[in-house]
Amino acid sequence: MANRKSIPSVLVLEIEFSLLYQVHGLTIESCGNRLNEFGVHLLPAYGRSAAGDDFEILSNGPGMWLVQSRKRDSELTLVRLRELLTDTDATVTDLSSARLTVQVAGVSSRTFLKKGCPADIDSLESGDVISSVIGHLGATIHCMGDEFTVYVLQSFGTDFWEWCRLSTMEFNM
Amino acid sequence: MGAFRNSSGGTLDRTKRIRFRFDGKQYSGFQGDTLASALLANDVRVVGRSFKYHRPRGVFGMGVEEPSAMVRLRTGARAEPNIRVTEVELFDGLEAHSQHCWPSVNFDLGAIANVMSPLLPAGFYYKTFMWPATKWMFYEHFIRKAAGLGSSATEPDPDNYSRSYEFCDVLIVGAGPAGLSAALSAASSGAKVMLLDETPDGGGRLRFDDEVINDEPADKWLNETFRELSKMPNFDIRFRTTAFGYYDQNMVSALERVSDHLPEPEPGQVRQRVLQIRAKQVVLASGAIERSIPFGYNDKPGVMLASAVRGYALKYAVACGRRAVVFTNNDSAYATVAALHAVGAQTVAVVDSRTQSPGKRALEQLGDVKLIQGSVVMNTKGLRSVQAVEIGQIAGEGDSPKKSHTIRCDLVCVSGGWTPTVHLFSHAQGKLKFDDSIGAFVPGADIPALHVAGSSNGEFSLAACLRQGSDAGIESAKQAGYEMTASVSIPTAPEESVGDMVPIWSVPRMGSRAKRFVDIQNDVTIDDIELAHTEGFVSIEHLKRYTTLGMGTDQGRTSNINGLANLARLRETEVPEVGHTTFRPPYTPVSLGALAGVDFGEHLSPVRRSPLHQWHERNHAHLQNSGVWKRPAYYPRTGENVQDAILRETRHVREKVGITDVSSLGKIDVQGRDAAEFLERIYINRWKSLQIGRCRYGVMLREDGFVFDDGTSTRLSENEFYMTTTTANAGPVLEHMELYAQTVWPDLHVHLTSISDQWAGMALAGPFSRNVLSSVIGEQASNNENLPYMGVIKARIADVSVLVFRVSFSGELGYEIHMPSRQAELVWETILAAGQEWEIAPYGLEAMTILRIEKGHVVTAELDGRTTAADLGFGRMMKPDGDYVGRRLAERSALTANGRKQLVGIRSIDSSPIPRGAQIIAEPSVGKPAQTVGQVTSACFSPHLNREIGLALIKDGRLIHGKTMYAASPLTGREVPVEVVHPIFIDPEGERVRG
Repeated sequence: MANRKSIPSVLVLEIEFSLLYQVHGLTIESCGNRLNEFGVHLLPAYGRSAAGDDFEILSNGPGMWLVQSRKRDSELTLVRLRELLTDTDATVTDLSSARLTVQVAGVSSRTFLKKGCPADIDSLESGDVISSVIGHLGATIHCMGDEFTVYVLQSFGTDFWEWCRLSTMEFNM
Repeated sequence: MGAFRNSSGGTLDRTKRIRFRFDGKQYSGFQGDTLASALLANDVRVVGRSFKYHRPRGVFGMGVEEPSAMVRLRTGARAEPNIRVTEVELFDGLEAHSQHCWPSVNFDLGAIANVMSPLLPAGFYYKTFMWPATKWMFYEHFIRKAAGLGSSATEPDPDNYSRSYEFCDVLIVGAGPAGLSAALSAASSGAKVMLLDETPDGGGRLRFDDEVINDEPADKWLNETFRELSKMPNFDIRFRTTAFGYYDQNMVSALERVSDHLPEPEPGQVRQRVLQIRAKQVVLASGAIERSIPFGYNDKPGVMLASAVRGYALKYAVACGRRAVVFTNNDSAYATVAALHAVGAQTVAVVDSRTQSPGKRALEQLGDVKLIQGSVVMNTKGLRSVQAVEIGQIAGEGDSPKKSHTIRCDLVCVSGGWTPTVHLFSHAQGKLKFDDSIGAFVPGADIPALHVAGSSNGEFSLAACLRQGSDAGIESAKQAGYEMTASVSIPTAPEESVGDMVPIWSVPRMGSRAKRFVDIQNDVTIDDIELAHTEGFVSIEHLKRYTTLGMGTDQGRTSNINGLANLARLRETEVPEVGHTTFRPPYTPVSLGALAGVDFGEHLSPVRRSPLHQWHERNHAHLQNSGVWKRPAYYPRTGENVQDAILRETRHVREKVGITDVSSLGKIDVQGRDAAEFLERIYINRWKSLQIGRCRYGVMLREDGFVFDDGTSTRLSENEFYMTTTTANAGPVLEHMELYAQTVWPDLHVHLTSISDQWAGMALAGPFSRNVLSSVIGEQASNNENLPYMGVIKARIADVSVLVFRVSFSGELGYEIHMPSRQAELVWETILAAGQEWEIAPYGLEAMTILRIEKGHVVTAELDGRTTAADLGFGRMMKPDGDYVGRRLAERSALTANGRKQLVGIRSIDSSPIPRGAQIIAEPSVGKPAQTVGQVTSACFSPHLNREIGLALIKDGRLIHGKTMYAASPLTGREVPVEVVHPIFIDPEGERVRG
């Protein structure tokens, strides 16, 4: 439970990912050891995430995976990823420009997210991934303890920032 | 002399004196006071005026049940009307004003209504203002002026409001003895427990009543319980929080008053927060509310609920009067005698309507105060407040009282029994049952995942409340999946024998003209109920609406049972036969600000912005809403009006070259080895044959055979297509396709991903568009051979990878250039710079609309859900073999018969503008009704053709080209003669787009 008597604080920062790919139709079995060279030996379970050498894989739906990296010179390019998965049923779509991505941190990060997200934020554990809404906008939320990464559609970015501005006022941000 | 504060006692912090103003006069109180206790301590008896008769009203209750002591709290933009003084925590500088009175609360000219009250019975305005019917609007003005209580602030609300979504295993409503006992049990199992209480400190009546728990004073147990619970990490308590609604699947809405107890919120702090709580199990321990007894003039200041008088005495050391009479039909009011004594007030007599003796404890609490059994208070005396009461004696059960004597007093403490607070149980669709022993409705059949404990369950003894609370806590935790690892120690209280409550629903008037109020807030009397019954309003729901009984902010907390019991008496039946009105959320009023949260003004609904939005703003585009998108409508230049700007942009595209932002188009990535087969089934035309690097215009139908959407799709590789949809249908088309991919054709290997936000788009159009394109991607890449009409190439502009589509929406030579949205502005600026030589200029949605009408392209106005592909001229696209969505129903006779409305062009014959949305009629109507044969879907002035043109859907339109029809707009009274023509006004052969 959040300690409501403490002075809350939360920090919201935009993150620019160098790559963000949506993978469809990949199973743990069909993936096998294809991503070994990038440090991922096993795809995460549904609703969970796994970290590779310079990227992370988030399960964001049945058979759906969001692959993201902040590394500008990541070797996991769209072409390379498609090559690795070439004889599977998986398809890969580039979404590197499609999302506004923000990091939410601070002791009140959960309290902040609860203001707009109708999912059970308190129950999220590190590594959990959910698809929900925040401030009426569709969002993918990746929990890393008391830090969260939130992905919303780029075209709603201004609206989301405005929601963040209004909703963080009580946290003295 | 009336009410006063004792020099000691109570739970106030007397070291902190607080100054406040009421009706402009300064008073003082102490930290811990409510506005009600402070006003009483200052002997302010008249706090407001009643709704209908403007009768003086004072404090009646102590909490949420207060029906009449309401004020306008604060001033300026923060002023809020109808605030119960019993729930306002006193703060320094507080300002409150009485309401519904003029010029002052003590001298109110509106009180003339009281003198005229015989002329103003229930429903009087339904009867009085019926004649003449034409004057209703005149009457309404005055009725509305007279109606209502307070007035709200007119300035914008300066405060912030918030919302929070909460989840818990067990939600407990009410932190009284039952609620706390439930919390202890449930939390000890490890379940995540949330406890709500509307007061600042919880505890219910244990905060001041003289009770014993576990053989020690109750306040000690209270403090220890709060201490123990606060140490538990799985426990969360919210004070100043009222659960106001109970919805499906255990969703409880609550209002947390975060900073209402402060003069104003601290910087950034929210004022109120709405909690949306999803609980696995809910325990309702919301207590009970004491009810009044209708007797003569029982509404005067000085008539109060006995429990409230007791509370003010013990919690705030306030004596609500110096000489009190207690009037009761049950044992609970006897405790008020001792409480009054403790603060130095005298109880003159206890008037008990029962003939049998009260319980042992009640007799102990009575002490040496005179007990008048088998008697009632018949009437109060006094002009503005109580100065005496008339006592009547009841000879036997069912007999009418006979006036026996008068007692001088300034306070009447009344208790007509207790009514369980079952509002939330009713919100949850719980059925109530009438309990004769307490004369009230209690929760009936069980509701899954909902437990009711304590007084709200009709159990008023402390011992039983503690026991029921603990049981509910254990059971709720268990049903939430938690086992009790250790035995739970149930708090105990002495079991005491209590005398039975004997209902007394109203005191007979016996010749007096005194009003006996049932609903003090709405001025509903026993006479009103009798009149309503006489006039046939015998259903409680009808009676409620005819008399306003139980309406308003009070919702009949102290009056409902008395009202329906009196209706039962008149109907000569029992209360359960009459039934009860329906409780609906909210339990107490919720401010609109709290409900809105941050979703107001420009934040009311989400807005999508193009990646070029900032460029548009910097370049003075006039932005308009297009669905959820903000799109540039036009780019006015200095001195230009709207029309000039739009026509200039349109001409510029036809004569030179323009560029426009089409990023809002829906874009879907269709991938998989069956992607072509999938599109073959989704669209009406063929797709398997489409070559890589080519695009094709496609139309898709709904299952019912009508056109759903259109757009182009491009084959980027053998198994990858880049689909575009209309802006409006981007989401619905993806949903439509996902439904088919996942449920109808799961055997097809195809994956769909929205890429609308990944790719920005811009259309380059005009005779010089190829020149501009050549300058950024090279002449060879852009020539007709490498990039023919409906061809697609990958290229680089400003080192950004782009897709260049040879498509045109304007009818001119044109291209669409799509690129990752983060690089959109760079590409846009590069093209603009390169196009300067050809005087490139941006154009907006308005010019685009004119261009597409000139070319006869359809948009949502024509794809209105009622048109078939054939209606729109796409009949030949429908492949004759192979199945596709909507084919079967598109072939039904109604959709293929003659006489359907078909897409045509229309042009104004007399140069008048064609009214948008006008109906098409065959002959001028000359003021008579005319049969419509179609409608105008789009209209504009075409600068290229220099005339007014439009598109229309007209019955058998393709057969009547050249005929004159009339575009009639009954709203404006205009009828414009139009010639029906082919829908393509320019370049019907397509030479420009293929040039």
